[in-house]
Amino acid sequence: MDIFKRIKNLINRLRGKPKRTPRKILQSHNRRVETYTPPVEVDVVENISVETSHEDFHEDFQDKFQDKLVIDIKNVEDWENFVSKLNDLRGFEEFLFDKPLQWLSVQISRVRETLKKLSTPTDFSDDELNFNLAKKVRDVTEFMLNIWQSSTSAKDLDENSRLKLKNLVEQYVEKIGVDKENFQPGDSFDDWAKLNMSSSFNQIATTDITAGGKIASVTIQPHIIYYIGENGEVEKIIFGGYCTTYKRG
Amino acid sequence: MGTAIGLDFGTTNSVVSYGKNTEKLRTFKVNGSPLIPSVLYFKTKDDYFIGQEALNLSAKNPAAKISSFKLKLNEDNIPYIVTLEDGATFRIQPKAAVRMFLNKLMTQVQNYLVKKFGTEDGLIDRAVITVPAKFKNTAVTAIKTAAASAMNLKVNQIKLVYEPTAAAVAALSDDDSDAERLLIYDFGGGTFDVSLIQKQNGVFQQIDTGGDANCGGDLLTNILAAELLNWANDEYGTKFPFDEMDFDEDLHGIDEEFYQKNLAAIHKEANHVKENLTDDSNVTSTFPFFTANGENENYIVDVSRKDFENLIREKINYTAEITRRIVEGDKAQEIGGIDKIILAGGSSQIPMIRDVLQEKLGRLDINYSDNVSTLISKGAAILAQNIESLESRTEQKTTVQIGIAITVGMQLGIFQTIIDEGQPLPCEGFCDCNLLEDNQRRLKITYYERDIKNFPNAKKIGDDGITYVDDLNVELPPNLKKADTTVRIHFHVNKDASLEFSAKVLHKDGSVVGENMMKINKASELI
Repeated sequence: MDIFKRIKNLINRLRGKPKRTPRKILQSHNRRVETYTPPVEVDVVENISVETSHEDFHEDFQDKFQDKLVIDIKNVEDWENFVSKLNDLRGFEEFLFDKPLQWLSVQISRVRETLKKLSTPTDFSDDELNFNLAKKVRDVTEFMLNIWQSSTSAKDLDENSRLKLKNLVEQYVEKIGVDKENFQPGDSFDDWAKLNMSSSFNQIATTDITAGGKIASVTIQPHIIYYIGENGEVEKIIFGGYCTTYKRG
Repeated sequence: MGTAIGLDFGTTNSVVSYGKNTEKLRTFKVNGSPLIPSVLYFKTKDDYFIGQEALNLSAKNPAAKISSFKLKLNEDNIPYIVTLEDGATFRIQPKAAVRMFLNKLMTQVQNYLVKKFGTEDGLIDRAVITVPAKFKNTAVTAIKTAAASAMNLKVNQIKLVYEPTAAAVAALSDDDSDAERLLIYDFGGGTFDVSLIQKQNGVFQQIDTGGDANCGGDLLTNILAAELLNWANDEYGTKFPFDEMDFDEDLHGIDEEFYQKNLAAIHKEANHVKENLTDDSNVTSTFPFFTANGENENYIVDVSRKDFENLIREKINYTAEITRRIVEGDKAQEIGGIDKIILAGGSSQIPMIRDVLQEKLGRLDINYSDNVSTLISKGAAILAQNIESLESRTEQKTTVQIGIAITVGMQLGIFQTIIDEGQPLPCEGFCDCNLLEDNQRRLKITYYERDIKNFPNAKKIGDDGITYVDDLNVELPPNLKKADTTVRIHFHVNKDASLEFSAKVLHKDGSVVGENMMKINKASELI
């Protein structure tokens, strides 16, 4: 039995899925024997004009994303290239094979379920296509960040495995073009607040007047997805960040 | 030609849709989300923020945050007291808060539209704003004035419609059926509204309304989140409370930081589970959970749709009961029943709602509407695109009685109706007032609203269901004789539910002594 099949069976056992019919097994086999094509990098958009969806957008935004991956799907080839990157979860499957952690299996299943709902568009001129894909990328990344967060202190992981899993998440997120901010303890919470992320922090009290309004620790950095918006200009979704900030108490 | 917009100015969130006649409708987004929290945060008296940014910043200083100003405008209209980060305080009227919020929001929308369509085509030149069906006329008028100022529009370029009417317009724009009598079941984040709308010869007529302003979909998420916490507590032998007010570091044996992280993870997970139980009969839930000894566990539990339904059954039955009362009410019977139920609002996609409604109301045709959170603003934008014909396409009715208190005799303090509930808009009524003395130069009238439907026993000022609306101060012409003079105050409710007044002085022989020469000041506008 090849490794993929064993992992799949293992995942299915954990999820309590019913046995597959012979037809499904055949379909699955057909998929397996397809030649694996390495994902092609999505075009980095050049000569981008800046889109501002609200007035206090970063002025230096244009400079910032020159070297970023921007979701810009123009045809079926772009679509398939990008979706194949999203679907490439082999590293996690191998990890699960070695360490069948139920919580990890649940999160990977969520990624798969989300990606399963991605069907190839029929109209590539739809100017909301990139935005809709960006939302899916956000959903998938959220699950990855859940894994990352769980991995940081999961009791059922030894240090090596923990590190390996964190690397897997970081590599996956980077591969699908998701960027991240770099906040540090002591940075102003105002800058974090302006990113417009919801439910992105908790507070701890401090009697230190100078610490009030500053970030105490960063659990997860804010992540950013760039995409070509309906105006044909670069827009972004910032999400997923979580920090602890000081409040005067 | 400029751009038409529809604004769903919500208590919790606001949504703006826009469109040009030939293009499909779009929704303005901030950070990918169409929902803009209706919140203000003041850094200084003049420097303020709105939306998610304001909500985030308010964590630093909750006393500088203002929220729910739309509701407050409709309720007591008492000023907010804002305490800035430096300790300075100032007062701000709900009406001013509405104006500041809309100013900032509309500036952002206008800038975006100009970037998208260019200076000329991107200019907002028509707008429709939605207001709750049960809203005081002063609140409606204040919203209209604030919005017109924020968008630099003239009165004829901006109209108000009731939220259910806008929802019906949007829902029917994608509906191929011949349904004419629609029940809109709107289970939003903060409130539950149900409305009966009839579409006849292209005109949307509001027939009846009901609901509960405190029973929104967020409540369902909280119920599930509380249950997830209970299960995790059972698993790890902890007793962490769901209500943060009940938390105590020493008593519960965990740092507040970890406790808050638990709550954040549980809320996030509850949302995920709730959404996924719409399609799946079972969802495996997992979230990190800090236990009392500070260890981080990954809690895993299977949540079935049945579990969730058992938790929320009481709330869903409650909304269905409100709906049943509308469907079986006299007004629904007068139009011959209903053809279709339209489910709007994020939480209305819960499968159990359809089942419960069918159980209570019989096998009615039920439709889900796409983009439920943007439905109302889209309906408003559709109406805004043809704003000239809006008044001929919507027929709205008064939802409360407008009246004054009798000021003399045995009936002192009794509510006297000037305009009845259920009157098609526009409509008007009047009251006659006598002078107290010769050469009186000023007359003060206090007027009220009575919610006769929900409070049928409300009779006297002070009873539940009768609420103060405003004072009118009428400046009278000189030399009026008490014995010869009556002052007639006209109340005009416009097509969009805003209220205007006029006054004339009648001589006892029936002739009009003075008309259009008296100034009427509203107390609410003098604040």
